[in-house]
Amino acid sequence: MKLLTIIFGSFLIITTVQADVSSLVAFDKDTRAIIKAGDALQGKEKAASMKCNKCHAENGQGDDDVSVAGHPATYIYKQLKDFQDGKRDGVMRKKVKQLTNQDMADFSAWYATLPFAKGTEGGGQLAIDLVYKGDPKRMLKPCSTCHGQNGEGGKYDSAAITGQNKEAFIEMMEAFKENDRTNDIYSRMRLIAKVLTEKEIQALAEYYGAPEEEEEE
Amino acid sequence: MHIDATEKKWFYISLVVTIAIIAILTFSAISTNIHPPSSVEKVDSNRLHLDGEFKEDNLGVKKNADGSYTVTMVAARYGFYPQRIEVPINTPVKIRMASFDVLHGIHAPFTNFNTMVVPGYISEVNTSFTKTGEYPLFCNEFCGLGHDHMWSKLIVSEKGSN
Repeated sequence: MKLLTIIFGSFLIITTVQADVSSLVAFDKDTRAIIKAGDALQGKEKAASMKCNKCHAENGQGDDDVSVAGHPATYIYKQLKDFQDGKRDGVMRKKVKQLTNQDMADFSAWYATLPFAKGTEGGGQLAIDLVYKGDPKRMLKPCSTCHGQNGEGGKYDSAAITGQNKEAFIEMMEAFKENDRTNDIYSRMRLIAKVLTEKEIQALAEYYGAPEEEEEE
Repeated sequence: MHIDATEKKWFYISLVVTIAIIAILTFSAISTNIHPPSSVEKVDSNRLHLDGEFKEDNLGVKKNADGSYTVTMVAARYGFYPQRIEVPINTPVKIRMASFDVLHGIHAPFTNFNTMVVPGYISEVNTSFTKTGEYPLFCNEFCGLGHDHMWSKLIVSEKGSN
C-alpha cells in the first residue's frame, strides 16, 4: 500500500511539475538521433494504414485541412510528440496515442519529403511588409526570419507556412492569439500572434495560403 | 625570391606593431589582474525550457529580500524573453541569461549592460541603471537572418513605481 502511495504520489508530482512546460520536446542529441532514424518509406506505409489522407490528403497538403507536407521533419516530430504529451489540443491527440517514437520519426521523414503548395502571395503591401519587414514598434519580427524567405520553414520548430490551407492558417494564428495553442516554447509565436490584428492575420493568410481549387460544376 | 625593399619595410613595421600590441595586452592583463571568469556556470541549452532556472515560468524580474533585483532572461532566435523587463533606478540588478540556440549578445545603449550569451553557459551581469527611461535591448552577435530584428525592451522606472 505504501509503495502504491509513493508511485501515485510521484506520478502526481511529475505531472504537476510538467504541467507548466509548453513542450516536453528538447532537440537534444537523443531527439535528433530519433528524428534522423526516421524512414520515409515506412512513414508512407504507416500513413496509408492509419488513413492520414482522410484529412491531410494523399499529397499531405490537406485540401480542407492542415497541410503537413514539406515541413521540416523536426517540426512534424515535435507536433506529434506534443499531441501525444497533451501539450497540443485537437483531434490528433487520439490518433497519436499509440504511436512510438520511431513511428513519429517515420511520419516526420515521410511528410518532410512531400512538396508543399506554393502560397498565392496575395494580401497586398500589408502582407509583404509583415513578411519581410515586420514592425519594430510592436516588436514584431518579419515572418521570413524564422519561417524562411519563401515560408519554407526554418530550424527545428519553425513550420513551413507557405501553401497552408487559408482557414487552417487563420485558425492556428487565432489559437496562438487566444492561448488555445501553447506548445511554442517561450511563447515565441504567441507573442507575435497577440499583436497581429485580424486584418493582418487575414492578409498573411492570403499571402501564404494555398491556391484554392475551383469546384467542378 | 625577390621582395621589394618598401614591401620588406612594411612587413617589418607590421611585425613590430603586432608584437607591441601583444606585449601591451599581456602586460596590462598581468599588471591589472585581468583574467577570464573563473566561476563558469554551465547549462544545457537544448533542455533550457524543461527545468531549472530558465524554465518558462521562472523567467522575469524578481525582487530579492535585500531590495536588489534578479532578472532571468533567455535569448532565442529572434528575441529576448520576457520581451519587456522593468527595474527601478539606482538599484542593484543581477541579470542572468542563457541562450536557447546559438551565440547571441545583448546590449542596452547608454548603459553598461552588455554581454555575450554563449550557448551552454550562463551569462551574469551585475549593474544598476542610473537614468530612467525606455531602452532597447539589442542582439549584438550575428545569430542568423533575423539578427537585426532581435530586440526587446528594458524600462528603468522611478523607485516605488513598479
